[in-house]
Amino acid sequence: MNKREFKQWRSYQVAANILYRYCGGIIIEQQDDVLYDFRVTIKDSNQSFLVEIKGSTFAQSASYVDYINMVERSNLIQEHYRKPLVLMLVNESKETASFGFVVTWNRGKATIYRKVSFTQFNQRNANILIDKIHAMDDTIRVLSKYGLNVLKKIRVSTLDSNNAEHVAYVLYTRDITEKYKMKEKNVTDEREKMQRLIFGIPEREYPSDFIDELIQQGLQQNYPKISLQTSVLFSTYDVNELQNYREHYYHSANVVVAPDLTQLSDESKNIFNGVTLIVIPIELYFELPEDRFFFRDLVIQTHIEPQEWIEKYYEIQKSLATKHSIRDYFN
Amino acid sequence: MANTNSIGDYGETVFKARLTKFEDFIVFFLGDKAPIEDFMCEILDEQTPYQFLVQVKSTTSGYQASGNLDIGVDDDKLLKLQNRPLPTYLAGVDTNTERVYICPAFRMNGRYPSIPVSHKLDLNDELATKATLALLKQDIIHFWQTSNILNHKSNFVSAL
Repeated sequence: MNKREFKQWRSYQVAANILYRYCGGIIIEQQDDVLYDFRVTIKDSNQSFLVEIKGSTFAQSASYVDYINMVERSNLIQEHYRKPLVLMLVNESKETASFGFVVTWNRGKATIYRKVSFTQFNQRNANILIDKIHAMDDTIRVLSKYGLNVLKKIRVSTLDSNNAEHVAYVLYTRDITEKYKMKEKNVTDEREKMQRLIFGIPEREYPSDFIDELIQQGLQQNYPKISLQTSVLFSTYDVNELQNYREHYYHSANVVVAPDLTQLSDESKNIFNGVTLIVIPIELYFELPEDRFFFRDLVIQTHIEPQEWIEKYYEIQKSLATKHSIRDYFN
Repeated sequence: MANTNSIGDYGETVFKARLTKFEDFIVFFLGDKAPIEDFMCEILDEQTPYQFLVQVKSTTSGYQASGNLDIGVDDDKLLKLQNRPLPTYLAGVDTNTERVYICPAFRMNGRYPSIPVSHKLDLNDELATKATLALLKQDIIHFWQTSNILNHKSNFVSAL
């Protein structure tokens, strides 16, 4: 076995190690197929997915295009191909990997991605991978610990010169944690019970923190008419619904939070020299393609009291790690 | 909670990844057809392509008060492993930390109610890993060279 063959062989061992480490109850079968190297079966659901193992620089090579072309030419209707196909790029020496979907399935129809979107293989992303695979079949399943998130949907609107309304939605997810969780249910009477049946859980019972308030505050300063709707991503059905936003136009923006220095003396202002502003990335999704031209602010500024800034700065930075893009759920 | 098979499969991939980290060895999984040893391994060196056998035991139970890995080897299986003429070793895998501990299985009637942790392979401890692999390689080469096997082989008269 020469050095190159050894490294390739070892990549398979590292890939298997990473899959077992992060995906838990799975069975890996090595296969000799042109499109994939492993067939991985999730024990709980008996669903399988296919994995092709390549080196970490594969996506930048000419062979990547050849591989995608080969996938496109293949007869994916064959039984052994009718499964999601994941491309796993392995850094054999560092024993790390990234992955992305090449083929996904929805209601019996395959989608092939010429430009695979890669994400780092870690516990959270592996759990979401499994949730996405579960969402590809018709059985509704409860999401994994990392998939079970709070979904915030903020409707933002603006009027054009003809007073016509244009709408965007700011969507993001938040991890459910010890501090960020559902508040205690407060059902006082039968009327309240009936209202819950019709309208669902009241907004006040969903978790909310300073990050959510800052986003709403920032949006409201630019677009006065906003409304918030919170829900919980609970099952693969919810993931399927969220994945519909993949077809929408969107653009990324930032809510930039700075301390309000207007009331401070010059000496006091100096304390804030060189501070790093709090930047909260958001995404705006548009129902209609033309709506995107009416939401051009890519930087949404907002301010908070200097005292609050000092007290909450590190807490906010820490909480930002629990805020995620809905694109994590896209394939 | 992972079942025994999952832990075993996971431990085997950890063992393969750790043992081959610095291209000293290649491993061949023997599977269910070889119930006593899990892997046949070989030194990746044309001058000394010596082989050895390894039985892998994986656990999520952590460590005993003595510091040893909390997994034992069945006495009967161990005896059969020690009976193999090739150098034989045990590899204990702590799947919580992905650490592998190597110990010899040479002495007949030796017992391993738990796995000692003196010689480890650890992704996060390159020095210790290199030291263990160097010692293992040295051990195997020494075993084969002191057995004078090549001389015996070249003088052996086959009946075929």
